[in-house]
Amino acid sequence: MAAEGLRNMSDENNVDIATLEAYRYKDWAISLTIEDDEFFGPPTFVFYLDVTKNGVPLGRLDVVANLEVRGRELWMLEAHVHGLHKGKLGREGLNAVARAIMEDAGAEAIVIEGGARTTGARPGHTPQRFRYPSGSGAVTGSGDH
Amino acid sequence: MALVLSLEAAITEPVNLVRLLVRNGMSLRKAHDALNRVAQGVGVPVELPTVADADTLLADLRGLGVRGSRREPPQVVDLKSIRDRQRLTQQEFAVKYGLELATVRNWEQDRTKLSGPAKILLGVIERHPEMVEEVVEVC
Repeated sequence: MAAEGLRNMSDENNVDIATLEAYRYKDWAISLTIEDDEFFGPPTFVFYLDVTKNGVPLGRLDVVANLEVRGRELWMLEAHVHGLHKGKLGREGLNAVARAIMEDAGAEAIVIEGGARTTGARPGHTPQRFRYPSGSGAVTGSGDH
Repeated sequence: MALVLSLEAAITEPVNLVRLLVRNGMSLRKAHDALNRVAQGVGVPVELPTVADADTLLADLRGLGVRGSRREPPQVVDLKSIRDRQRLTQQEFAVKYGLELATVRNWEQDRTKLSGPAKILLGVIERHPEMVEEVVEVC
């Protein structure tokens, strides 16, 4: 690991993801770059992920979100994403992206609460919470928030 | 520069909207918050302190699906012409809109520089006088 990544997250105000790092899963390589952050109140981040499959660059995923650590989960709140289309990533690519963020954070799960939708059939609507990996729901520390 | 941001079309590159606002002097948190509120269909007033070129900014916002409407007090207010069009003397103008006669005289004779709120008030009196009358009317 070239940097501490998200591993220094002892509480929600101590998120550190100042990394430029490639995470590899099977055919996928994900590099995560923090572009901007602000730590007054809930930490807000702009970061992007460059996605490569079998050595071929597929594109970039841009993200803005408030990041909080809750127990061993990384919560991405009011998240907005654009760039590389999920159809191009496929399920495996999405999993690789989620795992890269989790690994950078040293988290065991990632929970994404999208911000109000800016496109699609119901703009303004807040999408349902998404958790990766789905199912367990057991790693959130009960007394953190 | 003061603006009200509102949703004009789908925002297909939301992170770029945040970047644009930050480049023009807004804090990241406020830019993120503005994005969320605009997406909810709310008109969001923002202050952007480091705008180099207003037209470029407005065009860039439009390209991202957001309308930016500039806000500032009227630059030039000609009180005498407003009063003349309403066919009121200084005394009548003062009474009608709940102002001091001395204030009206000082504004009109340029003895007192018009503040931003005063310019806005006179702008409302010019366009919607009935609103001001309604506000100052005491049964």
